[in-house]
Amino acid sequence: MSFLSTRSYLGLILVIAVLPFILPYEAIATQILIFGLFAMGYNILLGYTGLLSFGHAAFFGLGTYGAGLSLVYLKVGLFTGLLIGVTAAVLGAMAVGFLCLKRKGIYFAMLTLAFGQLFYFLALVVFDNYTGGDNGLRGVPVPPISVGGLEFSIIKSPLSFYYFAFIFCALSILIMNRILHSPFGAVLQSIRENEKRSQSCGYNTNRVKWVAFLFSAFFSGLAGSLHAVYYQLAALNTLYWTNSGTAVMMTILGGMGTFIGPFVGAGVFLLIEDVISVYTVSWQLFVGAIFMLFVLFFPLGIWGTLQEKFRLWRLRG
Amino acid sequence: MSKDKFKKGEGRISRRTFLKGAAALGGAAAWGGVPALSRTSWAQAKKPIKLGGLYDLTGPFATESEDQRKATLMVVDEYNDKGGLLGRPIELIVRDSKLKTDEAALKAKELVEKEKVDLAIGTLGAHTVVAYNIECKKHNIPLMGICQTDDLNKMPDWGPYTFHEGLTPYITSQAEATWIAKNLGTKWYFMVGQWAFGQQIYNSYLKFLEKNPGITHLGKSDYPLGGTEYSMHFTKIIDAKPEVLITTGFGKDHTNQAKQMTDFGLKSKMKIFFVLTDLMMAKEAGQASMAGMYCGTHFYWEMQDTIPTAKTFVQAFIKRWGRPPTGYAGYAYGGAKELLGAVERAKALDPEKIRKQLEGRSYDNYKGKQWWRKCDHQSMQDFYVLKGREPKDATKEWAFFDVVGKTDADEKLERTCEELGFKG
Amino acid sequence: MIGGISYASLITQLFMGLQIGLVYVLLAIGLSLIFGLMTVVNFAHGSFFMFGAYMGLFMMGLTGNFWVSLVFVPLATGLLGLVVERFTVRPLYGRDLNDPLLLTFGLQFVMVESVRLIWGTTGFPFDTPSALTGPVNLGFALFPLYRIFVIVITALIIFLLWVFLEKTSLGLIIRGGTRDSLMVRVLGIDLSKVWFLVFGIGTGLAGIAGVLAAPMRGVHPDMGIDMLIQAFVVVVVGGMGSLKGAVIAGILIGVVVSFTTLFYPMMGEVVIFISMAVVLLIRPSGLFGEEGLLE
Repeated sequence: MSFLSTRSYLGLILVIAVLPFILPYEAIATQILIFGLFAMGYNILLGYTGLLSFGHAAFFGLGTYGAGLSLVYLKVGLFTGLLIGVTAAVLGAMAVGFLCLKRKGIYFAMLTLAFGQLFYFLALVVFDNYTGGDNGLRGVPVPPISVGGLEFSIIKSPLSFYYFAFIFCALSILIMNRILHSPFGAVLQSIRENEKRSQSCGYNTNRVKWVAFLFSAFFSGLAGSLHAVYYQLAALNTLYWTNSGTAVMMTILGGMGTFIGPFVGAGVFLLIEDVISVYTVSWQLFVGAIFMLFVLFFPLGIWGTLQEKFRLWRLRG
Repeated sequence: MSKDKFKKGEGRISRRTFLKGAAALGGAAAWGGVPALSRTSWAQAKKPIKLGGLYDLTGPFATESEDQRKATLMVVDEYNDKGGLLGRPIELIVRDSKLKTDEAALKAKELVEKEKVDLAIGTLGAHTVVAYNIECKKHNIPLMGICQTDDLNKMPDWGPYTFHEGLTPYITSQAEATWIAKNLGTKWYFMVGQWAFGQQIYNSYLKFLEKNPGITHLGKSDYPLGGTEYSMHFTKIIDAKPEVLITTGFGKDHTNQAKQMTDFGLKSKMKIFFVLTDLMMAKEAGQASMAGMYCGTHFYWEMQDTIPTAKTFVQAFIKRWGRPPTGYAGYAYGGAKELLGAVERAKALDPEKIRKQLEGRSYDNYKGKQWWRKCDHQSMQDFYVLKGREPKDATKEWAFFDVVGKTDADEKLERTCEELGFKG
Repeated sequence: MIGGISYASLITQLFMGLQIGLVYVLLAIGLSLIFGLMTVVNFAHGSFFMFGAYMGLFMMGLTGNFWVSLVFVPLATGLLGLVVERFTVRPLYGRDLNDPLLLTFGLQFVMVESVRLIWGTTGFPFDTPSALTGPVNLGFALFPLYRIFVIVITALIIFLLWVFLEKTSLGLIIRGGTRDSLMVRVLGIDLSKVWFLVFGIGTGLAGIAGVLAAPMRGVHPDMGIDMLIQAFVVVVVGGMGSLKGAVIAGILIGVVVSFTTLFYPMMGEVVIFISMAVVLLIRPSGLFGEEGLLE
């Protein structure tokens, strides 16, 4: 592994530290931060474990509603709200993972899709008195936090929220880096490559996959919780299967075989969407076409292709 | 391509390098100033007044949202052709909220933080306009809401500079229910869509039923939004033998329901009432399906025969865009005229002055008399009932309906100021 | 009477479920065929359905003849399918199994937006052919003649497909390829040609489902997306690659939705997913799927 790929996460953290100053407005930078985290969390399952889930919107959404509902109805503090959001996502993953991981391949994907839609339905119809139905849960309060005796509100300015979220994001990247580049991460990849072989080496692959599922949901849920706090709203569309599709597209676009690829993919995806939708309402045409081109010609994704080119360049001296 | 072309000092720019440079330049240009979807040509001359138009341009109501944008543009151009507003050109900055709440919040932030708009107008979805309003409220930007929602004119969503040209589901239901009870029958069955608007309208109908015990509620059947098949509801509806079937079908659901109800012969067994309709849905359903169907609306273009301002609006719209306007175009037109007109009369962009210009004001922009209720900034306006013509009677294109009923604007049709959270 | 509903109504509701289900069946069969043989999850299947409806509209505008459209549409849609397979799916052979799924996921956006650009965002009504308008009195209910026609035609198509698969040598190859593609290739048969054909047949089936659905639902750019998830559920419940499964699951799901709407309409949409989850947890490969296929 080259210097570049093992230290890429540091480069990523550096870039997102200054992102609001590179991009035209803070809101898009925050959006990239949140969805970058979502995509990287998703990639634990897709890129590293080789499991294509089509229901990850459920964990993002559980994070959003967990945080939103607790902040609105239980009036908890900010960190507690985020914690509840993440916990909701992980608890959901424990149940969903247990049920879905019984199956493999496309059946696994369809089961995750089904459960994702189930959560969507619960929020839309069953609990709509609490969740606000398709209006979403509005008016999520953002209580001020006290650090070292000083109290301040993280939503004071767009930048203040950005750096609040940045701290969580950077920490998450560091933690994910530890997890995925550890022996555990190696086992995940062995499962991706050949599950039977991994089993014959003595690993309880079902258990390992389940744990990976939980990690993946943890970070997706964290992204969702931050989303609720930023928009001060738990949006229903975050639970819809198209949000799962977004995670897939961002990850593939960036490069599912790399660590920071999904984050790059999230950034590129959101920027393309933002720019194109100003010029035309048919932005989905371009996004779809670009995605197809990547699947066909750049399966390594943007970052994966760049990494590969760099590696070859270095080999040639 | 061989590696040679990348050696420095070659003097020739390889095609690849050229393309990269062009792409970088283009990217930088797009970055530096992302242009709006419509800009008047001399906007660079003086510092323009920025109107942030947020519309749900992607999604199931794309056409109606487009109409809103078009109508807003008409009003903006009317001003710009006469020298602008307060001597400055108006720039309409358009963004797409994609009918998603968080997208609306994101684009609202862009309009407010990056584009620094002075005024705001939009959207089509109830949830997206509320999200837009949240951002506008933070920065005291006057917002003109141009769609149906129960939330914009009540606490806690209302803001001192929030104005609602669109009707509320509450008013809509009360206006309709009164007419239905008098003209169509007193045994009602409901089909209710599982989305905020559907729920709000149904709950408001229930309030009407509470106050009018003479009407029987036979039952209701829920349907998911965007569900394409409705035939499985018909068995129990027919069994209940209602006089009137009231449905919240809107958009695609409106189209499919009208079609399937016609196919299954429901029209001969009961009167059918769609709580809202608009031109595009009727077009998609086709005249045969719409024949004999009753619908509620705040505006229909053939009213130009009886309302002078409607004629001006409709003719101008047809002239510019080639077909009559939808009701949503009307909301946008009326709303934009009110917003920009208030700035004109106030001679300032100051939100307080704008507000004073609008509160309590009576006006007639395109559909007869309207006025702004002072406490909640809700536009009071007449409501109409339409009936689909038989195919043999529909001689002109777009002439789907006859106007068969009207409920005059009345503050009593809306919740009271106290109910909405306003004191005194 | 059960739960306040008369027997006549229950029978009507059953019949409703049957005809609702059959619309899904045609869509599901094509999807299942493509899954079964090529292990390709065609996320764009709904878009071919939509394309078929638009082609039908186009043909009706040209000739005014529904029967001509009925023949033209599967050919036109199948042709598009062949082009798509040749240039976008075939390059993905030998690569990750998920790649075609991802590709068709992107393709779906491209197809829908293209249709929007060409024909506009608003939909169009599709008139029921005059020979098939009007209700039929079935004794227990009034039923549109057109829907009965759809039932008959769907049954006919299913039968023809069955004959093709069971009684022809090409059908034998397809069935063999579904069970064991390696073996078929060992026998010297160029599977890529077969896959090419199957993709065309599958999408052609989607197209004809679209034009048949058009008089019932109208024609608009999103009509495929609405159906897609439901079609997936039917295929998965029936078992990937199983024709019998697709038919039975489709009808079953239609009936389940029909009765849920009767008794508990709030659950009308989600009952589909609950059913799928339940079936998959009990029978891992769907009702009639092969164990070990596509895993």
